[in-house]
Amino acid sequence: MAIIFLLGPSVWKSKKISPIYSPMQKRRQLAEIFRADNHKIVIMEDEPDIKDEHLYKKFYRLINDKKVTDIIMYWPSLAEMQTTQIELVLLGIQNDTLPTPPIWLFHHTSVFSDKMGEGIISDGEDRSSYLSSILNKRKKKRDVEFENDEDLTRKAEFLSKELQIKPTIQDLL
Amino acid sequence: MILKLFGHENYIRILQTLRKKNEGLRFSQIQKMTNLNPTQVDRALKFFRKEFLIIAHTFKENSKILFEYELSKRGEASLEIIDKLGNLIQKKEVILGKSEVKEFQNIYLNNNPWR
Repeated sequence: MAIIFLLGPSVWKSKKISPIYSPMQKRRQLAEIFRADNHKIVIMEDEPDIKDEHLYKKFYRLINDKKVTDIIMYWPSLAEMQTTQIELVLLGIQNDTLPTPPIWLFHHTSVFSDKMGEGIISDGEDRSSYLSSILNKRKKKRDVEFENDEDLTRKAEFLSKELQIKPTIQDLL
Repeated sequence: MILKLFGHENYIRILQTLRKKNEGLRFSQIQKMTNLNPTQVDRALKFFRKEFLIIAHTFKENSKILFEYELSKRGEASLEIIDKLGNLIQKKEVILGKSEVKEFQNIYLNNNPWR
């Protein structure tokens, strides 16, 4: 069983985009997929605040107190990503000093893609240097791309099974 | 998904290479080790990523963002099924004929698990 910190945007850039659900609602839908396999899900917005606690402290507190084993960063296209970017930076900072759980970058193919082994950022905004700096860390990020909602659900189901398999003693040695 | 693997000898070859190496391999390494051209490797990796048969790890090297690929549990399980089928084909060599066995063994390059 994994304890997953499910990060990502909460709203779309424009209200005209996808009125069916918000990125926050999508994250909650994804959470249910993982919960069905008995994983625990932590969503920042659903966790109670502590009085006078700064958001970045809450972020680190949740990783440590909840004993997070994996972090999933949901990155759809056309979402408001500013807060998510800050969270990625916080993970980058933590990675410099403390061990960080494996990060699964769950992204739409239109924002980041794999062209013959090379990652190309193409979300229409200049995030190349930003994302590059996050990737320039000792720990590699696990990359999962999705084409549409259906594909996202499938990949989440696959990942859920992947995380479900308990490590053997050999894995732990 | 497994049926589609059977239809693509190169796909099985790449998965075998990833399993044999047991560590992340870059695009160019896969190409070199399997002796396939970039288009063939790219097509296979796209299929593997779609089916979650591999896990791609991204990192930065110099100014480029690069990927390394390793087998997922789903990929390992798929290969186990293919191995078992290979074993079965070998056991039925008398009925199926040597060429049938050889054809299947060729997929494994130098990593034939039955030798």
